Order: sequence, then C-alpha cells, then structure tokens
Amino acid sequence: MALYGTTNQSAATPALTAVAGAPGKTMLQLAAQTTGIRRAWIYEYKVGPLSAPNATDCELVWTLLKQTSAGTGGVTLTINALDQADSAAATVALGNFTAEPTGADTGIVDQVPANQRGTFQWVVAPGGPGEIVIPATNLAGYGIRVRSATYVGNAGASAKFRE
Amino acid sequence: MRKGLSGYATLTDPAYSSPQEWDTFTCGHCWPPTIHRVQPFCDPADLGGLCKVCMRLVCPRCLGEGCAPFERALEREEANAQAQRWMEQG
Repeated sequence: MALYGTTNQSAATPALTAVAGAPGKTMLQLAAQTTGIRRAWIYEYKVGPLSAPNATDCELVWTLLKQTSAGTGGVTLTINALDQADSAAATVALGNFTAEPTGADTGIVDQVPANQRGTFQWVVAPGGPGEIVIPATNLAGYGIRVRSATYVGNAGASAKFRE
Repeated sequence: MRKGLSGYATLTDPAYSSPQEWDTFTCGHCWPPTIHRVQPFCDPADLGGLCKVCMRLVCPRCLGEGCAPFERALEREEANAQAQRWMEQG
C-alpha cells in the first residue's frame, strides 16, 4: 500500500488560485489517467484560505465532488510518495484551471460551509473503511472546489491518497 | 454502530474558542460515496442505518433501498468507460 500526498501548491513554480463565485473554482483535482490506470483511494483532505481575510466577513463553501474530465489550462501538480521508496503515483493531480472540470452538484461527496478564516480537515485510516474511491477511468476523479460570493483571495487544498 | 464511524473531521472557526470535531462515516451504498458528519450523542436512527447484508452504515437516502454496495456502481462505471475506449479505438 503506497501512500501519496499533494497540494495545489506542489509545483516548481506554485501558482496561487483565487476563489470564485458560483459554481466555484477547483483548487485541486485528483484523477486516474490512461498510463498505468488504476484505482486510488482518498483518505484525507485539508482546505483553508491562503490570503488575508476579506474586510467584510464572509463564507467559503468547500465541496469535494466527483468530476469526469480535466479542466482547461490546468497545471500538473507534483505528487510525492510519503515513503520515498515507493514508485511514482499513477494518479494525476491537477490545479489552477482556466475553465472548470466537468462535475455536477449531483456528484457532491462532501460540502463544508465555513467562515473565510476557517480551515477544515477530513481523515480516515488509510486502507480502512470510509475512503473515497477514484475509479480506474481516464480523467475521472474528485475535485476540491471552493466558492464565495465575497472572498476573492487565494485558497489552498491538500489531499492524501493511496494506490 | 460506533465501529462504522470510520472518519474524523475538524473545522477551525474564529467564532468558536476551540476546533469543532466530528466523527464521520462514508455511506456504503452511495455512488459517488458521500461523507456524513455525526453529531455527538445523536440518535442512531438519525444517521441512516446499518445494512445487515454488507454490514456498512448507509445514509438516510439509501436506507430501505436494498443492499447495493457502491463497488457495483464503480465497476459499472469502469466497464462503461472501458467499452467506450474500445469503441473509440475501433
């Protein structure tokens, strides 16, 4: 069981991604890909703001949802094995899209309405029950999306998964 | 019931003096799987239920719908995508 982690800042030149109004902005997408396609299981994700709070107190609505395509203009993020002896992950991590990946609200796995100063973490034991399965289907996976009508700063998301 | 609460969620919020924490469970029937937070000391009947076939907690939406583990939907989705890929490749 190989464990991996990534964030929307895991790149040689990290790009900050601004929060957007409805339907929101995908900060981090984890998806299967054709090369070495296999299932993966998300066992942890964390989200929070990366910029100074808005002067008017407001909300950040975080959503973990199923997506069926990669967004447009996304950058491939680095995935690191938690044990450096493990092989590279077959799953791909994408972020900083110019156009959102395909994913309807019917595919929402979890949603957290939080204050703009709030952070949220969800975790299960890796390999145990309750993990979120990424199907072995090309570019199918899950995205961590955030929306706010007021907050326009950047946000961060990280996820850990196993293959 | 307690054994089915496999996850843990933590929310920090400036409105609270300490982090808000919940046990969570992932519905064993929903596809895609859905994560549900559990309020402390809540009535187990409010959670949904325990499927006596696959012995997993299920959400209120899936309660009474029969046992349909999410793996079945997952396998169907993967098979559909594989068939589509074969057709596209000729």
